[in-house]
Amino acid sequence: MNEGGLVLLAILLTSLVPGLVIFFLAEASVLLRTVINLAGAVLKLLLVLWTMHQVGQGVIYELRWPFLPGLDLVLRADHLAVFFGLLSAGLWLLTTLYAVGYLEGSPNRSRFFGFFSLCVFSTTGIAFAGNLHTFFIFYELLTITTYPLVVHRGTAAAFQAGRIYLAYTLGGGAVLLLGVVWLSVLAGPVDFTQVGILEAVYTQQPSTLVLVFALLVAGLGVKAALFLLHSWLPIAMVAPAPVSALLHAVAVVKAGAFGVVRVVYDVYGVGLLARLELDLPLALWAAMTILYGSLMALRQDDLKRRLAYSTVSQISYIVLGVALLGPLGTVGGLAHLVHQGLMKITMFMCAGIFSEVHNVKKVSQMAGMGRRMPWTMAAFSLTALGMIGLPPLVGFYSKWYLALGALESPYPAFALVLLASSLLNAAYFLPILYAAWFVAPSAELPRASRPGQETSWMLLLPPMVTSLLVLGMGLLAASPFSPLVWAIRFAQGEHGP
Amino acid sequence: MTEALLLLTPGLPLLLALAMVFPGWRAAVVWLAPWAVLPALGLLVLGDLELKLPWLLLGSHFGSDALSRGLLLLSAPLWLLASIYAQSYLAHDPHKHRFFAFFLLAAAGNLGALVAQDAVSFYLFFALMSFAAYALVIHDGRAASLFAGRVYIVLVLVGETFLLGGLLLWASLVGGLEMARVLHPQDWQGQLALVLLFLGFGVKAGVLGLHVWLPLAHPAAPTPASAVLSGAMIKLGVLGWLRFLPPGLDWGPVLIALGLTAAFYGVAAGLLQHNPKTLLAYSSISQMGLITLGVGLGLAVPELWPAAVSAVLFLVLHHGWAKGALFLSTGLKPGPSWAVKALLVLPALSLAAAPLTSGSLAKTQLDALAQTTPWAEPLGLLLSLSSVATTLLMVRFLALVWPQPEAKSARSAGLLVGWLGLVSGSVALAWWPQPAIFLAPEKILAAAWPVLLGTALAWGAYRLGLSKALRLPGWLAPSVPRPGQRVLSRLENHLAALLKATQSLKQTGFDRLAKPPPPPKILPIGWVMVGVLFLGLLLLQVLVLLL
Amino acid sequence: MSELPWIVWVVLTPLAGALLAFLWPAQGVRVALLAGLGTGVAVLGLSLQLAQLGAQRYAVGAWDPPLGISLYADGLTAVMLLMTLLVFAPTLVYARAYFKQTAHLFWSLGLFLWAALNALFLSGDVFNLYVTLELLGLSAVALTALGGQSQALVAAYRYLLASLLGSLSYLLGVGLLYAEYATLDLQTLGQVIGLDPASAVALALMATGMLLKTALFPLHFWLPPAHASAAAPVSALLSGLVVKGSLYLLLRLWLEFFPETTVPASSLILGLLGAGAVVWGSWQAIRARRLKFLVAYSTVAQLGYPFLAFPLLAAGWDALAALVYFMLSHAAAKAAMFLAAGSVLRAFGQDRLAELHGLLRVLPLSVAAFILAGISLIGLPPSGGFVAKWLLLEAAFATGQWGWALVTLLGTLLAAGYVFRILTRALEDTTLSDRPSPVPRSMELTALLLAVASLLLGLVALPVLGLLEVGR
Repeated sequence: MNEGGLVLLAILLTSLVPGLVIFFLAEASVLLRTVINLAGAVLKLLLVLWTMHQVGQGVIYELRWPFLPGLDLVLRADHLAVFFGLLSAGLWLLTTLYAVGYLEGSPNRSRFFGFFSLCVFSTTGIAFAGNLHTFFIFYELLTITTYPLVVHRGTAAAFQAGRIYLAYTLGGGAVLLLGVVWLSVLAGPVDFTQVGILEAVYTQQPSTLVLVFALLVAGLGVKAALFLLHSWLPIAMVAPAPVSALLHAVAVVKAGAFGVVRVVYDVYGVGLLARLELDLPLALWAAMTILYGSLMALRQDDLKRRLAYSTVSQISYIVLGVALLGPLGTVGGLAHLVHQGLMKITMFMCAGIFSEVHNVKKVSQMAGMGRRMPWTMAAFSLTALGMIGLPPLVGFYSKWYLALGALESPYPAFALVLLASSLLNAAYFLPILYAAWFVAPSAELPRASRPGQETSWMLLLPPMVTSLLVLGMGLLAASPFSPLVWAIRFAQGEHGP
Repeated sequence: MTEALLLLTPGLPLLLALAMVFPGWRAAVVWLAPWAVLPALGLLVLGDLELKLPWLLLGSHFGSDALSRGLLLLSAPLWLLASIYAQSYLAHDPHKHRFFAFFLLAAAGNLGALVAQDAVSFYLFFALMSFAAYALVIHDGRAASLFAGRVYIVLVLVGETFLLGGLLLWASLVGGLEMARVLHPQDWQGQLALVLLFLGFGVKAGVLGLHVWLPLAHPAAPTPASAVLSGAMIKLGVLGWLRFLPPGLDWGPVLIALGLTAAFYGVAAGLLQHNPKTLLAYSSISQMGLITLGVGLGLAVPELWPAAVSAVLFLVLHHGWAKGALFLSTGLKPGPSWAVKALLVLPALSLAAAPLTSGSLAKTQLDALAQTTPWAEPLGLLLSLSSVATTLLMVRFLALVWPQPEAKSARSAGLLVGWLGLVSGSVALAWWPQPAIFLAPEKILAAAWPVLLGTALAWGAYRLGLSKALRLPGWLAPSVPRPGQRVLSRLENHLAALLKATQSLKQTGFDRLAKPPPPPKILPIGWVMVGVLFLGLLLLQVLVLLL
Repeated sequence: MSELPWIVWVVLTPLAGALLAFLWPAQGVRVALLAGLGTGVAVLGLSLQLAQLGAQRYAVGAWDPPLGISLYADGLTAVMLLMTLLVFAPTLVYARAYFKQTAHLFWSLGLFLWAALNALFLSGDVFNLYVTLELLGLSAVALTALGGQSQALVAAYRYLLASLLGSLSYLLGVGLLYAEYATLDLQTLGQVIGLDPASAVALALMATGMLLKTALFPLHFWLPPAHASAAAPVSALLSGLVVKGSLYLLLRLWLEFFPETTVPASSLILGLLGAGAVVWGSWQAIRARRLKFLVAYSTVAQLGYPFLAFPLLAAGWDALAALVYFMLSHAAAKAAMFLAAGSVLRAFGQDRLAELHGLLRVLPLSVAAFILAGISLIGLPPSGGFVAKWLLLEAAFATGQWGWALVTLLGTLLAAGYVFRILTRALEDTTLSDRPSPVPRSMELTALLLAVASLLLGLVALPVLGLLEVGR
């Protein structure tokens, strides 16, 4: 095994080992558990950063493990992998910190953090998977490891949500499996480096390729919460806030979206998809999801449900960008992969703070929240404005490049979808901001003006950091540190400069 | 080094606004607020500057050119004086700090947009100003203000959407973000881009049809905010037109017609108002109509585009200063001091384009432009008529403001300083860049008769008691909340219908899987059954093998 | 080392152990563990031998077939023997804690069962196969009855009748074949057999008998009560191994007689019955009220999967690999589940699903075993079940018969339905109704060990499949 392979293995182990160890820790050993968790998270972040540095130098790490005859498990750190890997590693660290604060004093914490780590282990695996069936393996692992988190509260509603979650995701997994196996029967092991491999199949059975693509996207679409496959997502928000944050920002829905990205760029390839004329149906599906999610979000009074529908809508930005098949759409979609993660994780963490500290769970109870907890609300507001797509926040750049991508594609009308969705975003986020900042609180509650006063720093720090990233990455969008530039670099590799 | 001023122009107000976060600094920020525009004032005395920051946003480009400086000449002092005014006006307001935070944010947006030379920065500052102004509109929290705020924010969002759509199309067609690039429309996409840009900026500029927020927002906002709103912020729409519309675009007649209609509609609607600030808002619609007209003239005669730009710029300056002064006067609550009353007349006269005022200068320039078009005769007459109409409106305004008896208990110096500053600015504009007094006598005469006629008409109407009888049928007299309410409620109705339609889609079939299945019944399988099954299977196998 | 006749020791060691344990009941535990150790060494030795030297044939007493008894071992045999070892070794350790003083008979019967199974896997002629099958069936019935309660006795009686019917049906077929071809040797038969009426009836009799003994839907009626009412280690052996014996026999016959006698329709019947088993068994498991019934019905369902591979066997190696991997992963996973269910019964005194409050708090390791084994049963990666499903799907797509792929996926979802019922119960955060009895740690650990093994089977697919290829 080469050095690079060891690094990749270590990246996976930094969350697998803490996860397994934590299961066996006593409930009361809070400090030890926290230390293990954070140590794993920090270590993983450092390793991913190192890998990212190497990729920037042109060094591609790879690890192979023979699995079945002619079928290897492959981990590889390419551009896309580190892109998504860094997102999950970074946000995991913050969410862990948040979760430690959030669950202080609640039961079953060892179990929670154990599965939490396993969940991230799976997500990292998805990020670094080097071929389609390795991807599938981690994708399914993610399904299972997330279930205990969704039902963590142990209430009837939680179990109901868990059942729906399972029915959807396992169903999606089954469909995906069908597509993956079919594809590997047609073309052998589908490594993400061999984009041209399906060309031979294309000349013989183009219609089969269409069918397989439909299976793959439908399977991935369940997790990515595409229209008609999305119902589980708003229901699954009964999970504790850190879980929702992770679920919506990096883990489950993002895994689906990332899968679509992989399938489009690294399995089928842009050229083949265009020849199969699959771009328009996919883009239409995404567009429908975008509008539907936004419309549904408008109706929700429950804050987390509103955010969940917003995720439904926002994730399809990524799918739309990818489906447009052009370089600018690629940039927008990929950048949104990170941007949406940063924004949504902030919002869910803030929503968690509102419900934890003041038991505010509904939009209609948000009056005066800006005065009660100004820092939390500021973070929330910043990201909400980012979601609407106002410059200089990161959401703007996603929208900008996506719309430019639509305009350069054969279907410029999709730019309209993005504009309409921005309007709807404004329609469901601005009333919250209005109520929070401009309406006096109904009952006189202690006002907090310094960060320490409104809630514990462990809860407050992570959303502050992510919201500052939302601002900073937007301001410095053209600098080499921004995800946008990485997305542009990837798009140049994919489409030529 | 001076390039840093470009960054500080929006940067300083922005930093001050952010400093509001710290409670201990708030009082100091309020005190410093007027001086946030100092960098912008600095730009006025310097020549062309350029600053490129490739790491910022998508590669930012700031620069001050003639157009920037022209508008800065209005915006920077206006924000300064309005801030001074606001310090006194809101001295005892419980939400004073919030007001100044958003006031500074809006200033940052306004000033930033003036020096932005790339589309993304420009859009950023434009949006910053638009959204920050929302907080100014709803500042006092009254129901009418909240309603005005809703109309305002809806139109802002619509405008931003048009703008974003237009900028996107524009950027994809010109292939870059530098605003120096000019889009000459080749096909429908280019046309669409320009239409979207025109409408996007039109919302801000209160172009006819998109103007409904103006008469609602102005009376709702605190007076200093109204002044900058009408004086500086809506002018950003005009800047957008001048920056993005290519000379030679064949929309001249449309814009001319649109502008003239707005000019007279604004007066007609304004005459029916009882709130002086609403009246001024309608007057702004009317004056922005004249500006639209100017832009239209420039488009109609491409070779005169530079002259049109300078005419429009001057019109903008003149209107900004005068309208700012008029707005601030509504908050003065002047006592019986005759000096105040006399000074009050000055900007009103200027707006009515009386001789020796900046208004007459602006009108003259506009008229000169109009003379080059095929429609010289009617346009000249209509311009004069608009002066008559504006005079009527101004008389009505003075009549509304004049009799206010209650004086503010302690007259504050800040109010007077701010107001007097604007009045003197408005007066000074008549002497710079070209003293109005050096106009040819016939031009002075041409400017005089509409004002005299307007005054006479107003006096006649007053004698006839028409001012009290001004109750026209509802459809003709858009009393305050109506236009906005209609648009808004229609919008909300559509949205509600859409939402209802989506409701049926909410539950998809999979959800039913969530229910746990019923418990099993014990299946009694008798031995006979077993035997039958066994033998049946056996027989089947045999048959299959043999056949 | 490679010269030793491991093939004989594989049968003799457990047989000797069984006799010793019977004669010396007081030391049954030690004898059994020692015999288990010995058998394990023999099985591993034989496997290595096979991997190095290829398929082995051994004539007992140097009498050559068709006169004497011949033992035959190839890759398939080795994998089956290893599977038996994998399940037996932890089960014996588990049983040591489970049975305390009672049930001396378990040790001798259990070892006897092991000997019978190993002999079955090694038998090279159809009559020997019958004998070992009968021994296997009888020892299994006796073990079932070991539970002692009336419920167990009734179930054992039913099991006995079904088992006898199956064996006799098989014997009838053997008789017909002998009358026709005058030989009992499998390979010889494979060379001469044709499709005349007598052979057809014989084959049908043998196959149907095996289907009954394998409890393939709709002949599964005897299995759930028998497996659910037996003692936990017995259930593990029955579900994990015994049904695999008859399945193995059917597979052997199929492979040996393959090109001459197989018609597509007969494999189609097996496939359809398998599909029926997957759906019906899973559905019953989802509806089950008691934990052990749930696990038992899951066996009915899981036994359907190998039969789905029969229609694909003609296509090539993938389907056979899938079939064997299904057997393998199910053996480990199901044994783990039954052992864990035994721990639950020990702790709570009953296994009604609705009343297992605080399961996770009382038995965290058993719950972990349930989950890990469940992952394998559902067929989620990276478990052995996943590898099996993957291979099956590949075979299905390669031959274009993707109907079987759909059934497999349906089974996946249904399996998730019943596995997560257990998990849901475990995660519920209710207070304990009454004080649970203590459960020895070794019981929980052995179950977990098996479950982990079922999971890791997915990662060692290459060597296992390599071994399977020996002699093909």
